[in-house]
Amino acid sequence: MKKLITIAVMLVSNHLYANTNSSCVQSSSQIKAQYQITESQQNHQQSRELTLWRNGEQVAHQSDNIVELWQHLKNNQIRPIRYFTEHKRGIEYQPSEVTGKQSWSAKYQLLDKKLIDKMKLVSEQGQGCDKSQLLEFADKNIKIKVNWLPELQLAQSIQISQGQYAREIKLLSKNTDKTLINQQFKQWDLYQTTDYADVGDNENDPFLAKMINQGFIEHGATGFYNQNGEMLQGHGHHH
Amino acid sequence: MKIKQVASAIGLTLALSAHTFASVLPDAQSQSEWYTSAQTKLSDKVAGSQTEIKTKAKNVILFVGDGMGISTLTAARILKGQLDGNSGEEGYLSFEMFPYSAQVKTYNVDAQTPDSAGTMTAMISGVKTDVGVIGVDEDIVRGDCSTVAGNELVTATELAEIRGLATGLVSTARITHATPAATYAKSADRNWEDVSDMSETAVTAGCEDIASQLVNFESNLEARFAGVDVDGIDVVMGGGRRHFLPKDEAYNSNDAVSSVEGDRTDGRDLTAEWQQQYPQGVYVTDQTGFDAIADDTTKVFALFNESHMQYEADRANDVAGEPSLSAMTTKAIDVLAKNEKGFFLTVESGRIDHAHHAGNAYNALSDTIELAKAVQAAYDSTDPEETLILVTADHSHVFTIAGYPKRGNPILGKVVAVGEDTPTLANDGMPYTTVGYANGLGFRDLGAETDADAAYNEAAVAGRINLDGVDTQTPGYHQEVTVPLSSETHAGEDISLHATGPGAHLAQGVIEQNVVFHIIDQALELTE
Ligand SMILES: [Zn+2]
Repeated sequence: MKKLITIAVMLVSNHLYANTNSSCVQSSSQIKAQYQITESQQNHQQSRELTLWRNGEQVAHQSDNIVELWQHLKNNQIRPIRYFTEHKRGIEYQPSEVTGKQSWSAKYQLLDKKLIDKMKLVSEQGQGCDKSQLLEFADKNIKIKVNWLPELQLAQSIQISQGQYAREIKLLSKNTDKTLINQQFKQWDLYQTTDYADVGDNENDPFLAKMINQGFIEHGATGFYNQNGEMLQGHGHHH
Repeated sequence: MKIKQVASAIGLTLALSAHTFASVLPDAQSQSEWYTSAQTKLSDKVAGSQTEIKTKAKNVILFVGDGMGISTLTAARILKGQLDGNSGEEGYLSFEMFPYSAQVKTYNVDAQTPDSAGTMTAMISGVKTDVGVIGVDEDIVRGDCSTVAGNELVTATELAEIRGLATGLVSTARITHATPAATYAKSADRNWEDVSDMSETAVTAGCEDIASQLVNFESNLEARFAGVDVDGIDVVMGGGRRHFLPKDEAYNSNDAVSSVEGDRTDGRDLTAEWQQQYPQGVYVTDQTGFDAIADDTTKVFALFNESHMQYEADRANDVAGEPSLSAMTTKAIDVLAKNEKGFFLTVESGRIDHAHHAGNAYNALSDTIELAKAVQAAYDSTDPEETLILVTADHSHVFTIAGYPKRGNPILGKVVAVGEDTPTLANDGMPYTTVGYANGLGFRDLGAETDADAAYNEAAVAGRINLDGVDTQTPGYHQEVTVPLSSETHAGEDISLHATGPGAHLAQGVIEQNVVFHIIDQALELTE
C-alpha cells in the first residue's frame, strides 16, 4: 500500500515535468554546477564552495577534500562512494534501500523533488532552457525560497531561514562540457578504493588506520534538503 | 594382575557410590528435570565412549565463521531460540550438539590479536604465520614479493586435490578474501586480490595476484609437484567478481553496482579463462544461474557479487539475487559427492566479521544463525559415519554479553533484571543493552536498515546514549562502545572448534589453531 502511494506521488510529480524541453534535460544530465554556500547565525557568517557534478546515473558533491559520489542502480538502490582527493583514495559502500531516507533527487538537484512539488510558484520568467521560477515554502519553523531552473532541474539559488539561522546557496557557474565531466568521473574512478566492510581488517594501511583510530575524517558538504525542508546529514538520528 | 585388581576395585567403588548417592538424594533433586536431563546426557556420553571410534573419514567439511567468537555463539543461540518462541538460553546451535569440541588459541606468530589471513593459513596448512599473509610461513616479509619464493606452504585443499578427492570452496565474502584465499593462494599480502591491488615492483618481480592464482590453481599445483596431475577445484562459490574482470564497462554483469564492475588493469577476463580451461564447467553470477545448475554438473564457478555477498538479512536487496550460505553448501555437496574417493570442502561465513566491525550485533548474529543452518544442511546431506564436520572460527571480536538480565530477556534488548518489568538503570540513570562492544563506531539507530555497513555516515560515538524510546532490537541498531574507533576490532581470546564424524574425537582440550590442519590430515590421510 505504501508503495502505491509512493508511485502515485511520483506520477503526480512527473506530470509537472511533462512539458520540459527534452534537449535541456539531456544537457543537464551531464553538468558541473558550482555553488557558494553561506551560513549565518546572529553575527557569525561562514562561506564555502560545493560543486555538484552530474553524469547520467552518477552524481557527485565535491567540497574541499571530499567527494561524495552516488550511483543510481537499475533496481533503484543508491550506491555511495566517498573519495578523499588529497589521498587519491576512496571508500565504497554497499547500496542500501532505506525507504524515505535515500532520495536520489535530493542528491541530484540538492532539493528533494517532493519539496519542489510542494512549493508555491510565485513567478516565472524566461523561455526554453533559461526558464526560471521563483518558488516559496513556509511553515512555522522554516522559510525556503528557491530560484529554480525547471528545464535543467537545477537550483539557481536557495535561501533558507530558520529562526536566527540562515543559509544561502548560490549558483556561481555551470558547465556542460561532456569531455570535462567524463574526465573528472574517470579520474575519480581510478583512485584506489576500499570497501567500507574491509576497513576493519586493514589497520596496517596508514590511510585506513587513520580512519580506524581517529574516526571518519570529516563530513562531506552535503547541502541538500529533503521533502520537509530538513537538511540531510547522512541518515542517522541525532540525540 | 595387581593393576587389574585395583582397576576393578575402583570400578566397583564408582558403581557403588553412584548408586548410593542417587538413593540419598531427595526426590526434589533427583527427579528434577535439570538432574534427569543431565544424567541422560551423561549416559549418552558413556554409551558414546564405548562405541568403536572411527578415525578415518571419506569426506571432510571445514566450516569457518569469520570473527565468530564464543560470545557470538552464545548470543546467536539465544537469539535463535527467541525467534523460535523460546527463552533462548536452553537451546543449541546445530553444531553445538556435536559430541566433541576444543578451545583454540588464535594468536599469529607476530600478533597477540590475529587476523583471518594468519589464522586460516594456520588451520589449512598446519603452520602458524604472520598477520596479513596468505599461504606462506613466518619468514615472509609482508608486502615483499621477493620473500615469497621458498616460504610457500601446502594446504589441505591442495593435498586433497593431489589425492584425487573432489575439492570445494564456498564463502559469503569475496572468494579472494583472506579466509578463502588461504586455501589456494600464496601471497605476501592479503590485499593482493587482483593485479591492480599490487605494486609495480611486486608484479614485475613475478608475484601472481590472488584471483589469478585461483583460476590457475591446477597448473600452479602441477608445476609445484612434478608428475602430479590434478583436475582443479571443483566448486568455487562466493563474491568478488570485480577481481576477475577487466576494468571495462563491456564486461559488466546484470548484477553490477559499480559503473565499471571489473578492477583488473591487465585486461584479463579470468572468468573466460576459467571457462576455457573447463569447457564442461558452469559459470554463474546470480540466483537464476544458481538454480539452473544441472544435476550432472561436476565443475562450478559462481561469483554472486562484485564484492562481498550480502548479509543474510540484507540478501533480498541484491540486484540480481543470490543464494544463502545453506543453499550454496547443499549445492556444493551435491556436486562434490559425485567423486567416489570423497571430498574436502571449506565453507566460510565471511560477514559475521564485517557486521561486528560495523558494531552491529543483529547482522553478526543472523549470519551466525545462517551458518548453523548451513552446518545442519551439510550434516543432513552426508553420511555421519564417513564425513568429518569441523566448525570453528578464525578469531573473536570485542563483543560482550553483560549485566544481569532475567531469563528470556531479549538478547538484543535492554537489561531487565530478575523479577522486574522495566529496564535496569545504570549509575548515569539510563538503561543499557545486554550486548555491546568494547570499541568501535558506537551507537547509531538506523531502524529497519538491514545493511550493517550503512553506519558509516557519522563519526564514532563513544559511551552512553539515552536509550529511552530506542528500539535496540531492530536490524539497524548499532550497540554502544567504550573506546571510540572507526571500526570495531578483533579480540584475542580463544575461540571454539566443534566436531562430529570420524576423527572428531581428536578435537579436545586447549589447542593451537594449526592443530586443525592435523585433524583434517589424520582423517583424510593427506600426507601419508
Ligand atoms: Zn575482521
